[in-house]
Amino acid sequence: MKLLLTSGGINNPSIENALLELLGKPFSECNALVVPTATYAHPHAGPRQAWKTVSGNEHRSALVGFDWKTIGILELTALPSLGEDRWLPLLRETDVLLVDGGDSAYLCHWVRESGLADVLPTLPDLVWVGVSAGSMVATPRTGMDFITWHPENGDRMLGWVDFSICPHIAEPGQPGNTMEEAEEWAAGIEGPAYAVDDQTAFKVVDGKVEIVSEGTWKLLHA
Amino acid sequence: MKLLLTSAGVKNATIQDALVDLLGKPIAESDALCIPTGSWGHNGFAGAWRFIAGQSPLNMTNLGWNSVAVLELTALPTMDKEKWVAAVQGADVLLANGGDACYIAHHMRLSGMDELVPRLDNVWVGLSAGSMVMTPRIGKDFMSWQPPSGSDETLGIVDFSIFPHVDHPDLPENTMAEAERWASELGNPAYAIDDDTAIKVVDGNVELVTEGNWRKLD
Repeated sequence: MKLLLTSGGINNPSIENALLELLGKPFSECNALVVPTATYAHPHAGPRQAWKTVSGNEHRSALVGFDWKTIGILELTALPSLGEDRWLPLLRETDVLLVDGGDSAYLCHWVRESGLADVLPTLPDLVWVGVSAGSMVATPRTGMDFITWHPENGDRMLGWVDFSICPHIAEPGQPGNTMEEAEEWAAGIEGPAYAVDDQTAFKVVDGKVEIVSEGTWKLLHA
Repeated sequence: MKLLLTSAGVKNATIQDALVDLLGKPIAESDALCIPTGSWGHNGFAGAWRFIAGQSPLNMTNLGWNSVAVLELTALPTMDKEKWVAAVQGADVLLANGGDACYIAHHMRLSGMDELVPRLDNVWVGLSAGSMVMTPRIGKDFMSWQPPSGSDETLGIVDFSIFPHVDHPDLPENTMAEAERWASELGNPAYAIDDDTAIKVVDGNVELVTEGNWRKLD
């Protein structure tokens, strides 16, 4: 699996080009599945946000508004009651997963519980595009500041990459996290920690990390 | 809960008038919660997207609602119950997509929605399996997903079964003769309805709303 870990979606030409490189073909030849699951458990997301993302009405973090060949939904909470034979063939024909943000602990739980975590390593060409929590779930941990769902279970994530991410860096007074807040957050994180704004993404192929940005990012500690 | 049990959504002006009557206010002033869950039990991964995004030719989420939000039944047991119950109670209408009715019933039972729904005073608009879930049973022919119980029993909020899409050109097996054979094995009353027909149920009173064809099968 290849990763494109964004903070605010596919929202500038550099991030869009990075996605095209990962896919190796135009959007119009790619089968896409949206994963809305993380939205359900976040206090600032919920049912309305799930609709906005899936229907392409979320303009701050575009995922759906591209010319995909096909688009469907992979609802992680539904998978255990379906059985693998219903969804695995679909996933094998899928080029890109568009994983929306929300609560990373809830998403992490369902990536494991659904069986997706076991299957993804067998799909080398599949591209995982994360937005916010959809990206943070790929890291070793998020820090407790970002956990709202069952905080007693801690902040451990899937660890597909070896660095943590503080997304949505913004100027003081703007929606998001200030660089000062990110520095405080990073003090509690072991291992590399980055702060990125919504114009920045990480492209990860075979363990090689490349930062794609038209905005601001900072390696807070290595 | 007031029910508008359709075969193919809000397909014509008569069904839409019935919907507005049940809402008691214009669609543009009503908040909708859409339920895609039936799709998963029928391999409708792309259909679920079209349903939520308002891109389906079957009118449900695309009618010009004041707002649309998503209620995913399979997620409810791991969500904050107070919050999702408030979202359900705050909606004017629940729009239930089709797919597999037993799959919807299974997850309504697991989440407690089966007990909540009859106590609500908003409107449930079902499409195909989203309508059939309200009936006592669907008949084995309509099961595309096997529940742990193996039974075709659904919620029984109404006392009749529904055979949808009668005489649909793309569904050659959905004939009135087939509906009669299906009904004979149920043990309860049933209606066969085409895509231009809906069944409106308020306080136990059943009314057929139609620009098409239907039959009561006893």
